[in-house]
Amino acid sequence: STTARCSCSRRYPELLDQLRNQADLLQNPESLLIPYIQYQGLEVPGPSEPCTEHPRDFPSEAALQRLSRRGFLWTLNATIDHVLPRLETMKKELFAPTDLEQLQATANNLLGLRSNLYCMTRLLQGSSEPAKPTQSGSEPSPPPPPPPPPPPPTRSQHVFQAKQENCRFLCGYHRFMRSARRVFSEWPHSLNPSPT
Amino acid sequence: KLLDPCGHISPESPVIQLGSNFTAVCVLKEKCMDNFHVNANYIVWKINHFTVPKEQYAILNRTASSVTFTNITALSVQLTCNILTFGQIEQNVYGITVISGLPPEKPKNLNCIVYEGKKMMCQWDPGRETYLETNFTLKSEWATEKFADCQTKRATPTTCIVDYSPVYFVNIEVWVEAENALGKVSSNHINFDPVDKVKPSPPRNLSVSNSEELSSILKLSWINPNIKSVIRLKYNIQYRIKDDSTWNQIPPEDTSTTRSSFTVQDLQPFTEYVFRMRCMKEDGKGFWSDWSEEASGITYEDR
Repeated sequence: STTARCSCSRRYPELLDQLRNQADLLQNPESLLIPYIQYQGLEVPGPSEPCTEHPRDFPSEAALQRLSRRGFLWTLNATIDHVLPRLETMKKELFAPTDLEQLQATANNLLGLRSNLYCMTRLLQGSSEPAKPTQSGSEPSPPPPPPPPPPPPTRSQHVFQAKQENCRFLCGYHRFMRSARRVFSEWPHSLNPSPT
Repeated sequence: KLLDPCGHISPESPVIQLGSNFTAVCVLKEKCMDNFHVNANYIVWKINHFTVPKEQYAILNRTASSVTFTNITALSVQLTCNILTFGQIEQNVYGITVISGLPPEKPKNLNCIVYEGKKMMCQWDPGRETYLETNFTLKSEWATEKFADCQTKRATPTTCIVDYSPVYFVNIEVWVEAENALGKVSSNHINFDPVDKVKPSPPRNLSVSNSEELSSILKLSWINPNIKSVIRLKYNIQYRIKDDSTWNQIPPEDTSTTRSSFTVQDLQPFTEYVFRMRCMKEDGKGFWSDWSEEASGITYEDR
């Protein structure tokens, strides 16, 4: 292990590998969605899903694919800032006590992802990253961060509709992490890829 | 009133580096000098009740006398300032304890281990004995987060278990600071991904089954530790004939990927064998688990 002042890894392939592994961990529905569904009694028989993602909650995979590497990192970071407080709110009453340790691990993993995003952003700052070509030829500005979610459902609202909202949020979160994993898997293996 | 000292010594509670020189000053109060008709010349310095030779004194002024010691070797001594009153009665004025020791050396060989399911523990070599109370603090941070300091316990001054769960795939920077009354020093920083410091739990529920068709094989199966969801594993599998003390090992290249069973071949028919196994991260980073529980099985009879 090297003795480096800053704890950022300076090796692009290693950092990219870490980001991919983190996305793998975070996209796993066992970490949040499934414990939530089981605790809230939302299981449904057969292959169908208990809920579907709400399009507004998280950027689509197509939108993520169109971004430059820096734009994508920025969007991922903004999404973490959007997810963490929501998890904090949900932690208080919406998960089984036995799942809280797993929930805290997920929050820690998100903080860890943010640390790696910071490090990758620093690495890319030093790189000559080509702007991603678009129809208008300009760098696609990263999609605006997802609008703030509706205020967490208050107790007075219909409980089932509240459960559905949270289920949709978690469903969207895992899908977003799967999309992020796929985007990372398509990243070039080197910091300064030769222009194709 | 009775306890009002007739003077004082400075420094009050010195900590001196072994081998260095040390000077203390005793300053008498005017009131006492009047009462006992004395001045700095009447001061007698004592070390653990032994009078210090006059050559080591220096009269600074009417009220103050200093004493100097060179190349201090004692770890702790009582230094007292006394006055001879009425020519022969020795009266104590003030007393201090002089402690000596060494500043901490740079801690070395800092290393950390993550026992599966537990929090990260780091340990280091503290360097020479300092003879002083020396505190070690383990510091750790990510690029974007600083973690709480890990204060060592008195009983285990060279290890620390952090109070946060390990987060894999994020490089962490760790170092240790040593501090006592004579100085403060930091170890080198080490920088690693905790996933490369894991000591997995051993494989469990190791079981052995024989084969009616082939009397020279035994099939092992086991449950991998939970960490397999985070890291890929490799194994050491060892076996011996029951009552034989020599362990044989399956070639590591045959057990170099994650699996939950393995067939051992070329065994003697109708013979009882004992097996044990351990695992670690596939790329060799980290630590071997402890050995599993042993399990035994008997090969089938030859036809």
